[in-house]
Amino acid sequence: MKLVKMVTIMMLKIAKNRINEFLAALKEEYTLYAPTSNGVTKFEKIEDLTSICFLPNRTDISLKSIFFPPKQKFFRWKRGEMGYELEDYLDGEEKKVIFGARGCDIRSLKILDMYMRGEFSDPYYEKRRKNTIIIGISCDYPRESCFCSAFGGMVPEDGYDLWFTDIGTHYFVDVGSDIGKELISLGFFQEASPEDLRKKKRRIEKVQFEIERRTRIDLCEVKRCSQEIKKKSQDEIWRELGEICLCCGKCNFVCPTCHCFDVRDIPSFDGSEGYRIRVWDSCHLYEYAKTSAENFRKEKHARVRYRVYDKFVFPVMRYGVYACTGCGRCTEVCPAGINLREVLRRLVE
Amino acid sequence: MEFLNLEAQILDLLKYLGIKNFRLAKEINEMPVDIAFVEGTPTNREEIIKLLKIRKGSHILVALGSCASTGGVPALVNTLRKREAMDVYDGEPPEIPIDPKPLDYYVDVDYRLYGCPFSKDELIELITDIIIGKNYRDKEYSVCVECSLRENGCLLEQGLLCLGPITRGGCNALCTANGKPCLGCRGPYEDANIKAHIKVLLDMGFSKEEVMEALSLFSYEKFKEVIAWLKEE
Ligand code: SF4
Ligand code: SF4
Repeated sequence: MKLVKMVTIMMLKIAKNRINEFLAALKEEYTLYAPTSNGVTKFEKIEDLTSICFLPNRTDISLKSIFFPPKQKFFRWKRGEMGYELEDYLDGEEKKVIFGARGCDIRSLKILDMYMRGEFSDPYYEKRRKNTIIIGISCDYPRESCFCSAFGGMVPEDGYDLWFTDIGTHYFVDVGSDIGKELISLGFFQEASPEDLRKKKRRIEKVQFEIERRTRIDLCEVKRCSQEIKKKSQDEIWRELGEICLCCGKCNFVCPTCHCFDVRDIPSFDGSEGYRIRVWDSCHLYEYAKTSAENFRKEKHARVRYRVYDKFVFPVMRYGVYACTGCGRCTEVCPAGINLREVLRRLVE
Repeated sequence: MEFLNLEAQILDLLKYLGIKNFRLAKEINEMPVDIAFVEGTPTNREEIIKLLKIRKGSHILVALGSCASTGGVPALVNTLRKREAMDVYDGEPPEIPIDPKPLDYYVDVDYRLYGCPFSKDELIELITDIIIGKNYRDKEYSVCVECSLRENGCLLEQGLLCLGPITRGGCNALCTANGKPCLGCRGPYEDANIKAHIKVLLDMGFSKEEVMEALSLFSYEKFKEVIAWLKEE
């Protein structure tokens, strides 16, 4: 106990040329996920450490699909002598380490957890989500679309086990949990100096400044901003956006906190056996709000508004927080050029 | 012909369905049938009469593939004056052709399997639904949906003329997943925001002509109003 306490007080760093050794050691016990690049950058299971991509900022595709894949089998059914037999596909447990998560990734997991392992628990998500170690990393510079500073900045308050910040030849290391404390006892870390700490702070401030320069939007007063947006339900802006939105759903799919899915059955020709699966769904699609009686969001502008409300109004009413991380992915992929940051600026100004 | 490519499933399928009439694969063909799959679209009077007969002799009529469900490539000829179109033949054309139209221009169509070629998975889905008694529905969303589910990079972002956002899904983004922009072989879906996508393409720097050509390739019959609008713009 005493030792652990000492370690937390001590400031730590890890030499860049020892990162691979460290990851290799983790890989012995855990499945390692880290950013890779194959046209698009995303988190993938790492077999060979050289395939890891050390990116300057977030990946194109978020962490979401590790825990909540685009298509997932629930179970297989088969008609037997004694009625239907079910074979569940709750995946086997996997102890994972995620290396290279960004602040927005970590916040998005907190939001997904809120939806999928809070009030309602999703066993398929839970199974993949538990036993996950997260090693986060500060960005070197933001992307054009980033606006995480509107949600508290690049470094999250919690949600990581270790947090790395590039300080030249080394990464400065912050420890965020008991598991993090265990990891630093692995022997790859060394004491950092006050100068290292200064470097880290300077580094973060610089990037933070860059992000704020782009963002120029303050959403920190959650209640007030959310009210402000709610009041604008009849605003001109929705018509404008509804006209240009292609309702392709890309913003939903790429969003690390969008979590809607459709449940489908894939039967054999006579229905005697088959699979039940879930597939990501999107509130921009025509059939999303269609019921046997009515389609509640037939018009495109209603769908665009709904998505913004489902990030900035409804979750605030229900959980007191936004469901957006400011990662800017939706803005980046939108073929119609709809920029969420600008939309918010118009709404709260 | 995609039917014969069903290899893995065809024997299983034959437990439930018999094939009574298959010009390309069978010698003796009979009518009436429960389900008629019609590929292609009539381009002369005889073919229209044949189509009407098939409709009469079948419970369910399925338009199979692009030409049958949207008019497909043959409808491209509708963009030209007939006389120009006839120039492709040396001398006398075989018969005076009529404008190729989707089958539902002539007869009631129960189901459509879009695409060139149509998707085997959708064919199986349709047959299963018919056997089980479920209602098979057209996909009411774009190719982008399936492309995003495969976590591909966006070809529009790479500056390519892709019709994904306005083209009906169901192909599992076969082309775009292989780096080829969507040509729109499945035609537009009802909810597609076609004008907005045209605007996106024009803003990307494509000319009106290029956009019109892309729209005409597979679904001129479906896009002709919007093409006329674009010409005027
Ligand atoms: S990505 Fe853009 S065009 Fe597509 S649904 Fe979202 S807002 Fe609309
Ligand atoms: S709404 Fe957009 S900016 Fe916010 S988390 Fe989702 S993708 Fe990122």
